[in-house]
Amino acid sequence: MRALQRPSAVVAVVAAAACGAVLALWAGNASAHDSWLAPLPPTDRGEAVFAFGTGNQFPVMEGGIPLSQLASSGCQGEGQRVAPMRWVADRPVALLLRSARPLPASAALSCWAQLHPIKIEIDDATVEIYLKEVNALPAVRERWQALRARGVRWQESYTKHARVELGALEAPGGLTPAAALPAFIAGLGLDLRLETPSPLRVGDTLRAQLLRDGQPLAGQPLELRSNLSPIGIWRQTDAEGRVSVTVPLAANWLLRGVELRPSESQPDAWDSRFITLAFQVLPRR
Amino acid sequence: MRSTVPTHSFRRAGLTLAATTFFSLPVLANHGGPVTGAPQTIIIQGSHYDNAVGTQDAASAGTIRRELLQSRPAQRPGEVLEFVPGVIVTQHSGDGKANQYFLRGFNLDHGTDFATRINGMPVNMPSHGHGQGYSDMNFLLPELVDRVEYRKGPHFATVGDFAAAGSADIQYVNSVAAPFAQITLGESGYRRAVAGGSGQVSAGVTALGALEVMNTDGPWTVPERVRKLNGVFTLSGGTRAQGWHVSALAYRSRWTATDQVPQRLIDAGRLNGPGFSRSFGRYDSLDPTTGGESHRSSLSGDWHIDGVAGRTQVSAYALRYDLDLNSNFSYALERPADGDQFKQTDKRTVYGADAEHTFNHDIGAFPARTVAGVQLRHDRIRVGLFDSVARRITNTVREDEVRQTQLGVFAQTSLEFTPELRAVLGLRADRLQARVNALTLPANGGTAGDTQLSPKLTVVWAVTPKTEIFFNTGRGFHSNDARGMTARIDPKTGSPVDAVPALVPLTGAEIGLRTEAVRGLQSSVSVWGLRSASELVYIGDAGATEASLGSRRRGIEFSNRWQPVPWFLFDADLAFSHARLNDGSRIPNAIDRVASVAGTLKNLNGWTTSLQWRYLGAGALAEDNSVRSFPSSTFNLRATKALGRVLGAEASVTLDVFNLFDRKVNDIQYFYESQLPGEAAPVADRHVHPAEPRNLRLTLQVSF
Repeated sequence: MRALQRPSAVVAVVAAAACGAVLALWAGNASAHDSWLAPLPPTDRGEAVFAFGTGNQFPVMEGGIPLSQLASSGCQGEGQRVAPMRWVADRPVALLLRSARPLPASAALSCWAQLHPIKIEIDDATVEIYLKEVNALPAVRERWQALRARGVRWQESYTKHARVELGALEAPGGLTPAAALPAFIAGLGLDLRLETPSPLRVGDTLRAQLLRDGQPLAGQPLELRSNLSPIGIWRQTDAEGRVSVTVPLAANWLLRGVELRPSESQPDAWDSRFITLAFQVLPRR
Repeated sequence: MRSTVPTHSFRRAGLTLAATTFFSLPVLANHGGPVTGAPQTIIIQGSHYDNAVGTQDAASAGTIRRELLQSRPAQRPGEVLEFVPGVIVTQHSGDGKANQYFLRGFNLDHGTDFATRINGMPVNMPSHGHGQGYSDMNFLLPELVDRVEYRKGPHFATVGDFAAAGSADIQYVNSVAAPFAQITLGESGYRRAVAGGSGQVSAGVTALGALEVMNTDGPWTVPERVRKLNGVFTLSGGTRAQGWHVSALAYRSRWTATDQVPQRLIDAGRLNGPGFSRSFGRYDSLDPTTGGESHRSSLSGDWHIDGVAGRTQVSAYALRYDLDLNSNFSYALERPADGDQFKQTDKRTVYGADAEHTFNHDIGAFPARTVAGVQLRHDRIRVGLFDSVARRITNTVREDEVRQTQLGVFAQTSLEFTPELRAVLGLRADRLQARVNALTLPANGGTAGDTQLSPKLTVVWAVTPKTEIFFNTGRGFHSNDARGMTARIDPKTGSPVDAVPALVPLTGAEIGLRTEAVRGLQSSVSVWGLRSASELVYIGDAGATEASLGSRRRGIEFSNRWQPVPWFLFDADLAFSHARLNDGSRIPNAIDRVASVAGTLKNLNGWTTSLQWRYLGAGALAEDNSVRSFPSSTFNLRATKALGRVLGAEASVTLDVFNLFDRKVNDIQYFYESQLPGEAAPVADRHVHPAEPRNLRLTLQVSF
């Protein structure tokens, strides 16, 4: 994967496609469903609009999210109060949401959404694929093997969290917009906070911190994906819940992870928290 | 708006989509509900309309987008306003004249009480030679319209004069996807050609140009001989954060009009005059020399900056306009020997500037957003009313020079108490100052002025994320003709008249609901009321101002947009109104019901087809309701076939059929006294301007 860090975009895409083809033939596995916020063009009034959808693999959204499933949402920009996002429309593959207020073109914005927990059961064969897909920790695999030996099916209550960073792309007078550090968002069960001022550019080192109920979550695998390649880059959070990785391409990126732990309320079951962080990386200046 | 997810890398979207489709994996661990397998193009709300819940301050306000405008035919440019729910646009004379607009129990005679702006410039003309607020939209180029933002009622601080019944801002695009040329051929000598294109002329600067040529004779026995030339040139640059726009528009039209004719003559089928007798049909004229000539040219520009401190927008315009209009509505009533033809002229320059600043802030614990602005307009007018024969002036009834300045200052704050409850508080102050130099009757000259404060209040409650309830109330106004403000003597009769106030207040309220609870269906209901202190009208045809009683109107509007699948759109707009003068009598020409229902099939094997039903209901033609107009019901059809690439250019062909079922209905009806040549005395009668019979137009468009 190192070769992907500083190639030209074309070489990178070709390489990624070739690798992806090989991997697809070899793996033939499945992806868990991530849900993420994808920015759309703003309204005429300047409100930021997002598609909130679920997909097998970023950036392709395949399933819409019912509004009733939305537990909380919000946007926060520089000098602006936190305000819940507003419903715009239901679309077959996405729920469209917008910021409550118009946003100046020169302002950065953080938006997020959290869904209500959903309980599912998964058959054994699919669990193996799922655990591979989320790069499950050894402790999770060991517990699952023990449960499986007892004939227990996989029972899970999952909660999804999504966050998106809109970097300021323009500034009046042709000036370069000031870099902004995304805000800390209170109340998210699982949060990924960019610690690198946005907008990011190719070659910048992305730093992000993973927080569970506001506390750093160590040892959690996170995958970085772009819309230009099916190949992900895995990192594990350090003791302070941090990861860092150099972003090699100007693209739309998704940092994603799934935290699995034994359920506190139901024996032999699992609680999971999904997190995605969407952001854009601009070309070098 | 249409976007592919993600949006910021359009250049790579194709590759991305291909790659992700190739590598897409079976869904096994389902952490997201059923997979639709739907295509990856997400249509954002508002590809046709931008009226979604949460986007407007009234159930009766909204935005119509280019995609919808292109799906339905418009017989005349002004019919673009028929996309505004409840508006019907007709014509009672030649096609170079401003349309008649009907909305909310108003016969908005050529535009009074409905404020229209095109590319930031006002269209309504105060103290106009033909009628107060005259709104000639014939210079509109429908192919360039990007969107129409509309609102109804006097509830909005950002709009002032003539906006009591409603207002619409029509915005042109800054660029087109590809250069285009189109030619339209139709029945009755209809020929129209439009060509346009845009491109980068220097770094960051986009130029757009379009030219329209149109000729038609219409179905009229006396050929209409419309000769229209229309051009648009714009330059724009910058970004959303800071940008500018300059536009130059030029328009010229000449035409021969067939004015309304008495029903008794159509019924008789024969005109018997002194020494002659001839057959007379629906499309015949009683005066073959009526008609006119109009010019309009303008230069406008705007600049904006959108920063952390808010958005500031400044615009300015200058326009030159003149109209020479010859009409004959009573035939031989006043001057049996020469006929009653009269000429109205209006020659003016208009200068104006607007500035506004919008910013977010807090009021106490509540987030707020405020817009404050100033609007200034100055008209320098020479306006005249003359007796004429075959367009030659035989007598000057009155001629005036008018200098009129209008200043409006407004502020409007949207205050969010909770995410579900917000209020919009507005205040507007308007000052009108006019000076009339009565060239023919100095006693009617002088100065006049007036000031009005107009408070506004809106409360919006989002009952659910998909349903909102609105309450709007506010005061608005329309200005009166400056000549009426300083009038002392009726120029025709010589009898004394009372001057009228410059500004006439109107107070309105509306309760509305908008919901998208049913997937794909957006419905709005508005129950509204409007009181006018006085139905003050300058009678351009008579050269005098008449003040009638106050009035009250109320009504219901029900608008629906249903798009169950991306390829089908169904619209149904129904409006009912009740209009009375304060003594209980009817307001002539106030229509009780209007309706527009349309179905559109889009992009099915290259076909896009739209069928629209237009209904203009009955209304009183006389104050005692003894005579009522007949309702008018017509269908229009548009069918477009995309031909793909033809000789290297994307081509499409469009067939428009107006009045599909060839209904013999009228565009407009009046009831008044007229006298035909040969008649011994005036006869009170219904006067009608027939709708055009079924007519076809075929358009070939190519994009390069």
